Amino acid sequence: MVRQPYPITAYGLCCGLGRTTAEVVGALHAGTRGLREVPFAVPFEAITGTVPGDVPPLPPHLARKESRTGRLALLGLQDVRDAVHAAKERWGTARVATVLGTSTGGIDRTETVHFDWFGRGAPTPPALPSDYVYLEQHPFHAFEDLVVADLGLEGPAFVVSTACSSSAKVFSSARRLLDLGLADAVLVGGVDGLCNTTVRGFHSLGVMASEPCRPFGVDRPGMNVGEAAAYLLLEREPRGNELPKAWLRGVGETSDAYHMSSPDPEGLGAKRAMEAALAQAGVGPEVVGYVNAHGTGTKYNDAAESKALHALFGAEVPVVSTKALTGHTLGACGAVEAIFSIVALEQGWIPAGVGSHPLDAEVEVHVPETVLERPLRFVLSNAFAFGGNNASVLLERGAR
Amino acid sequence: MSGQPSMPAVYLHGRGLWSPGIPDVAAYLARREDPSAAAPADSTDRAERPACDVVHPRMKRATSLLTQTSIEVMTQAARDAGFALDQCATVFGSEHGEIQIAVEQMQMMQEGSGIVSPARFKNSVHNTAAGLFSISVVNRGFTTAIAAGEHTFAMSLLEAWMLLADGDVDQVVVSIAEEPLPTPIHDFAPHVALGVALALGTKAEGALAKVGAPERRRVENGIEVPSRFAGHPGEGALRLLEAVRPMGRAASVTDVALSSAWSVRVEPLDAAGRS
Repeated sequence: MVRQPYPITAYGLCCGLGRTTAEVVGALHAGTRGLREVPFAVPFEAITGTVPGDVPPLPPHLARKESRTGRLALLGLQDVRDAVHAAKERWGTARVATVLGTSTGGIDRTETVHFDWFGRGAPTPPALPSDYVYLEQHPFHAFEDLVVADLGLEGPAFVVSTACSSSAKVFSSARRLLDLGLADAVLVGGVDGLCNTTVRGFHSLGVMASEPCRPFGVDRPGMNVGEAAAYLLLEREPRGNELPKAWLRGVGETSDAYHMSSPDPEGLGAKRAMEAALAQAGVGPEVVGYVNAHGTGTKYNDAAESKALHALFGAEVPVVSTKALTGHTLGACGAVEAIFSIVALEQGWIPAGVGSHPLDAEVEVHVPETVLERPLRFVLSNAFAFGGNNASVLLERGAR
Repeated sequence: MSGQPSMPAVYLHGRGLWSPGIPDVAAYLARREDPSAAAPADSTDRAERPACDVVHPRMKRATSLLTQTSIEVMTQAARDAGFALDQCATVFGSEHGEIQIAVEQMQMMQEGSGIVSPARFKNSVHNTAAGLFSISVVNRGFTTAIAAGEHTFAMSLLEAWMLLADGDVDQVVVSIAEEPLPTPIHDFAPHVALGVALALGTKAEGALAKVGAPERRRVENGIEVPSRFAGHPGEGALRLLEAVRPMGRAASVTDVALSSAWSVRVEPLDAAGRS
């Protein structure tokens, strides 16, 4: 079924590449990696896509909602806050919905408290600290409550948490809210802060690299975990005569039904997700000028995705994984990479496939070694997750 | 969202429920109809687990009570509705998610090498049940996992309702499930294990009730649930289930409180799908 396009009227983010959208886009174009020291102690070598500098504390009236994810959630809002307030004026606060993705929510806050609680070695652990408020800090909705409170929104609000596809799937929830007249604007996005659970967890699976990752590269060493907060504003119509940043044209969602933590080796679920996104726009693969790949940098994920990409697009369409620069921002990557795709559409360039060359002989897609300057009309952005959960987002440039 | 143009119709076709000592909807309703007769005893046995028969025992072993409860009620509701398990879309709701595994991993980080178990980690994501269900029944379609604090069931139902009303799918099963929180955070939300699922579709024939769009409209609770489930994240789902108790009850349109801010209108139907 061909779906109605909706305009994306604003975006903003922070991640390992920078604390503001301008810093991030500058580093993306320059091909600068945002990989740094892990911001806490872990018993193995690792580097992570860590937001540079100190992440500002929450304002006093929201301090009860403390977590690193919460702090990042507010830092990332800075470049969309004005647009959201304008949408509130335009549509009414109850008509602006919020659908955000995350993999871990505020789990880092409970980690800190838990380590202290058990780490003292006392036979009877001490009382929990008085500023630890589990319900306002840890659960998935805690950071979203923070965003909603900060912006003063009153529309439907929920979190999608399907691991690494979370903030790609939020686009289809937003489309449904708009299609059915349940909202006139939807703030979508994804937020995940670095935490022990994910850094140690991916290490336990044997897929973490201690050096910068090399998506699609030969003998690639694995992935780097990253963190980010990224937001996009969808509205029912463009604002006045303003061109939107881009149009949401399709969101394909499928399940591999194969394995909890490994992809279908033939990439069949991924291919069906991309096909479904194209079908919602009523277009074929020939219109896509660039694919922002999921490209985690692990052996099996990249192999499966490249098979799916080759089957659908052949070997000519440029494919880049920007996780080489940001690390894998998990539940935030869908929104981060949708923004990168929009930047490509707006500014007419495809980022370089940093670290990917020499390519793995099994990878039969075109990964550019340098920035490619060219006009683009459609870009596809992939996000695939644990549980075989696949989402693919098709975006069209603002000037149609 | 009152006053919106006419919305597409969505119908309730099946239900699922599991809690320790209450293996299914029939056991729950039997107890509600006659608390003194042949009702299962309350159980607070944390070792009690649902049958979860669609999952291979080898895969089930490393999963949490939450995952097993979610899959159990999802399966019950789909079967009750006559939906093919490999075809229906699924929406898994949970406020707290895989919290037992999360805290267990924190303990592992402080012991020995400080590395967590890979088997635990891969089952620690919020969509573990969604993934395991899709793998177990070979369902390659839409699935998602939702959280929204006390509004988790309301928002999960909204997402399920939207999938049907917007023509994405014609059958969807939506669940909410929670497991008890572990030490040291148990006291922040001291609830029991409970899962409830509802199978929804676009066809009226054979439906139990017509279900409106969840609305941001506060209504008085009206419908009581057993005291052990009062304040539980699944309380709204239980109220909805109570509103469409089968047979022998006068059908009436009811506004059901899903949370402190959200409600839904349900209209019980006869077997032919008539109100």
